[in-house]
Amino acid sequence: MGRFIFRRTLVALGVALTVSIISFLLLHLSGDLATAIAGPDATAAEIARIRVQFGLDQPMIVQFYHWFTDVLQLDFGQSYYYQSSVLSLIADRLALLVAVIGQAMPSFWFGLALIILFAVQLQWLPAAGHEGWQSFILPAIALGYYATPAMMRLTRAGMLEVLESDYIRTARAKGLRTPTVIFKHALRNAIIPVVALAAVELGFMLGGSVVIESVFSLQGLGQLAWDSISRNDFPVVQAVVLIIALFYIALTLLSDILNAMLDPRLRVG
Amino acid sequence: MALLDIRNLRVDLPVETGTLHAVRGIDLSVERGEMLCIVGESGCGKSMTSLAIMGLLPRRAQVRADSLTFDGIDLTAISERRRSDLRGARMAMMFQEPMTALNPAWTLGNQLIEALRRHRRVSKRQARERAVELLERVGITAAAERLSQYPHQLSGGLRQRVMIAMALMCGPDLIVADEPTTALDVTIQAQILRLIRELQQEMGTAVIFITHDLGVVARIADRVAVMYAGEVVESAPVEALYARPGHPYTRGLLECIPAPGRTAPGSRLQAIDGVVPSLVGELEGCAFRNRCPRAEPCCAQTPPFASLEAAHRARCHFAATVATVATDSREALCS
Repeated sequence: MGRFIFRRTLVALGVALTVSIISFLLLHLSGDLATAIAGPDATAAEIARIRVQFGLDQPMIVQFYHWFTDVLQLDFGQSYYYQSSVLSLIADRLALLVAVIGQAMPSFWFGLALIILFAVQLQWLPAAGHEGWQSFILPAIALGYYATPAMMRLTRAGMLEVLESDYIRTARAKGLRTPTVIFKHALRNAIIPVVALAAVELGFMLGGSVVIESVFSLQGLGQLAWDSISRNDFPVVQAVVLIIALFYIALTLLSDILNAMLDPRLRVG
Repeated sequence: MALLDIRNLRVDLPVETGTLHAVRGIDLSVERGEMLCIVGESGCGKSMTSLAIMGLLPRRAQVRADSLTFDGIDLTAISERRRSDLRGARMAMMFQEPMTALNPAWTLGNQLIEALRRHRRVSKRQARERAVELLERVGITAAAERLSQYPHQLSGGLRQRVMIAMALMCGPDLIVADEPTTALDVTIQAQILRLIRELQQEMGTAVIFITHDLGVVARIADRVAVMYAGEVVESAPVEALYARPGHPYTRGLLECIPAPGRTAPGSRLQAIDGVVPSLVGELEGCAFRNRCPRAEPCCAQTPPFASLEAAHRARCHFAATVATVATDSREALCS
């Protein structure tokens, strides 16, 4: 088991490195950054100055090296727009993201329906913003609403199949009580695909949170990414992409490890 | 009194086209310490009978019996909870598929220990000791280390040995073994058979051994019940069955088995022509008559379960005549 976790973690680190290269390249290949930052009315001198100021005149590999070594020290650079550190920008919103990510799925429609019912009609909960834990109830339901049925169905289908299997009959032949048969012998085998699905669903929620944040006017990570893209605020976009990708990788790794704990046959390198 | 007494057991299953009468009124009894083999081809109702005894039939199956008594307990009258108290403790089961009959997600130790701790107030440590002792007894080396292994780390033969140990955890009075050697290699099969027979004699456990293989029956049975189309067509002590089979079906089965010295090299193997009648709906008369070489018009009448000699009965109008032709199949099969 320890060996399995070690090898899986190595793979995950490899993926993380690849993702960081891609998130770096994506932005630098999307056009001349210096021109984009300087704006449409900038003179050639201004663009040249920006190019030197942001180190954009250096070879790509050098730029990546500087960015990557900074990232390893949690230094994501300065936001071009906010003129403050990207790290502090993201840290502010990360807590919000984690709160919302509890449940997620992109449906601005469902979110709006919740607002109309619970905030406008019944006036039980705030419609927008984040003041206290009550603000997170509606966004969390909106995000979680679409993930839940798939997991329920998968659990049900898995249980139906597993309950027909020979080892369930063996368990009953031992005289085990029904709850033991169901929870110890059946559920553990049926839950394996559900764990994998949950990891993927949580990943989708990262993307879905952009929509939900805008519906509920939460100043979250998704909103920050969206705004930064429209403002050409590249260091922020880059960092957000990397962080979301790392979340994905961590979720996948976690589901691999959980499943290997559930089913010993999955413990292969 | 017999340990297990079954009178007129019927098992019906609803199917699309009507009701499938999987078991059509059978009588069986098993004495303490006896090895009863139930033999028959696929679909003859032998597995359904074993599951009905254990109370493990699917919920849609309907079970009726004039009597289904285990050590004086009327199994048809007690609750499922009381039934589950007996299962694993006083009556245990071994299954055909060692590859799938163990839970892949739990260690062998866990699965062995829970079989004992469900029924007996013992510590985990004591249960563990019992598991090691039984694994050693069924011929598994490094038994203590095996406890932390998972089923997929073992071969089929080893898994079947674990299944045997699991059935023995509580020291049951009766073991129902449903084709426990069918899925194994022939060499392993012989070892497992010998082991089951040894343990049965050593522990005085009664065993109902379900198989389609008359070669297996010849080696281990005390008594045999031959099933065909949901009925017991012949029941006899093992010597009598092989020496003087009283039912044409039994005789046909015996002739199908090639035996050294009896089957000439290069000759065609015998087979019973025709197919088993459908068990959906009612069956009139002898169920075997459409395949029987000696069928007569009277076979449309249900034959009596005729007594041939002490404890030897056959469900055939001509049982007495059929049984006069002696065979030497048991010696041939056991050699």
